[in-house]
Amino acid sequence: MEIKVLDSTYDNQTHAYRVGDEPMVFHCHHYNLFLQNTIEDASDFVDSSKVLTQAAEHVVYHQWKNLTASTPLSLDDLLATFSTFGFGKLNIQTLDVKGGIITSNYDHYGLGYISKYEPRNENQPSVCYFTRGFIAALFAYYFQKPLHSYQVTQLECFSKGSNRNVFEVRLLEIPQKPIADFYHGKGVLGKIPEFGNRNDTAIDYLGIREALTSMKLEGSTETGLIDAFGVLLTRHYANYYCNITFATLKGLIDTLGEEQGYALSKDLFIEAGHVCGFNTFGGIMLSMEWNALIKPMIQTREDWMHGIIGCINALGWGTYIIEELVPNQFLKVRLYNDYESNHYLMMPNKPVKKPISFLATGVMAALMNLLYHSDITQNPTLDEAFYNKTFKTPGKFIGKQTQCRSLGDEYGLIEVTRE
Amino acid sequence: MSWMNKTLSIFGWKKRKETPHKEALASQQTFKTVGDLKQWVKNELPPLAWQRICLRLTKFVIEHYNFSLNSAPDGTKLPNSLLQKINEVVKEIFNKQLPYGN
Repeated sequence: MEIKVLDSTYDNQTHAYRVGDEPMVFHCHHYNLFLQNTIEDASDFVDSSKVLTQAAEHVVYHQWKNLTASTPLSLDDLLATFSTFGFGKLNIQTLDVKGGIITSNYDHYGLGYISKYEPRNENQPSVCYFTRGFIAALFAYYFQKPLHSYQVTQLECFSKGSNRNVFEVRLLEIPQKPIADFYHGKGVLGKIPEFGNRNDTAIDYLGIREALTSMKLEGSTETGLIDAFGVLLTRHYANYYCNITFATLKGLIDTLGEEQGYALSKDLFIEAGHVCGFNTFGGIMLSMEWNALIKPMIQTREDWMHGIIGCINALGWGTYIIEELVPNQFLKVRLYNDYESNHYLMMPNKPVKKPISFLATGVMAALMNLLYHSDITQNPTLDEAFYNKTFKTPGKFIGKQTQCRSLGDEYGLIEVTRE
Repeated sequence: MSWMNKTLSIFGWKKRKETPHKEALASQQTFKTVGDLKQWVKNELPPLAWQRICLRLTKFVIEHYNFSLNSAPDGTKLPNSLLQKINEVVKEIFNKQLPYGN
């Protein structure tokens, strides 16, 4: 069985892709690595290595279990999951129930890291936590062991100057206890709003969704990587992002107290959203696909915003609807069934009763900044200087979440104003 | 283009760094307080760099210096030993160096 994630799995009601009940969302290497770096930074507060690896193992393992109630997946199927979703390619060197050696010449996190940052030194950790978790899930699933039965150690890493990744897998005598409460599944869904084309824009929302969800955004046969819109994309596990984000939020709140822990987490996770908005959506707005598909519809600057929100609704993030857009001043966007809230509502013990759609908040601010502050329409290069112009100069836009489903609201609401 | 740059460009030369005195000043800069350091971080590093530095060092600072970096008032004095530690973190995360030598 080949896992074809694009085959009729897009749910146009909730704007989600689900494979084995796991919602899958597109994100780029800039976001993935910035978020991971932030969580590494918090390692005084939470065991970040275990959070990042165990969360990966948890979601991948449960996805496979849900996919295959009757017929187990083959080893090739398991490996194809990794490649199809854009994480790279894994090569099995040795494998038995006691462990094995896995190598990789292409890895999203490893190659993404060296494309962005200076190499790490020997004393620093390797960066392919997600891959380690994936491999642990693969062994546990294949040999029918409980979760966290295998220890996966990264012996070589692209981030340290190696030209490949090498992982050693070892069966533990007793499975490890999970470091945090991890969750999987489609989450708690809420109201489904009316979604369609609008009278206040020439942008064809339904057409964009149809076109983008029909695009073959899968890892290439050779590398297992998705090279699109000027970034390395992944079709990633929404619950992975939420598990690692909320475990870190909890760690910070437990140590620093609710006010400080939440404030610090919120700022950093919203910044991750800025990074995502700038690189992924900036990349999309400069892409050939944008020029071919969306630019011909654009009549006003505001249509750029409608066009890019149209794209978001094809990424599996939930339903995003512009409630109000005042040119150059203000944006208000509704979030229905956003993946952060869907996940948070599953958690019986919530770390905090405050808005938690951090990614969405950061991305909405990034879009206003790109459009009205630093001007993406002038075809800039998305480099550090342009990033600083977009987010570090006076008068920039900032986002604030004023409603959240996790607080009992029907939908999330993000408001973006100039500072 | 200024007259000097025009003149230099005729010969294919590049103007020397525009404000070498600034670099010299920076190398002698001393960070006496949290506020000085925050200002430098704000000017020189990416957005939210201060928060990332705090994340890395909050526990260390509480244990060794008995105050909290992320909630310290701007006037809080910074010991040299702490500056060295902060420099290590800045180097590791941002590949930059604090101009804290004095």
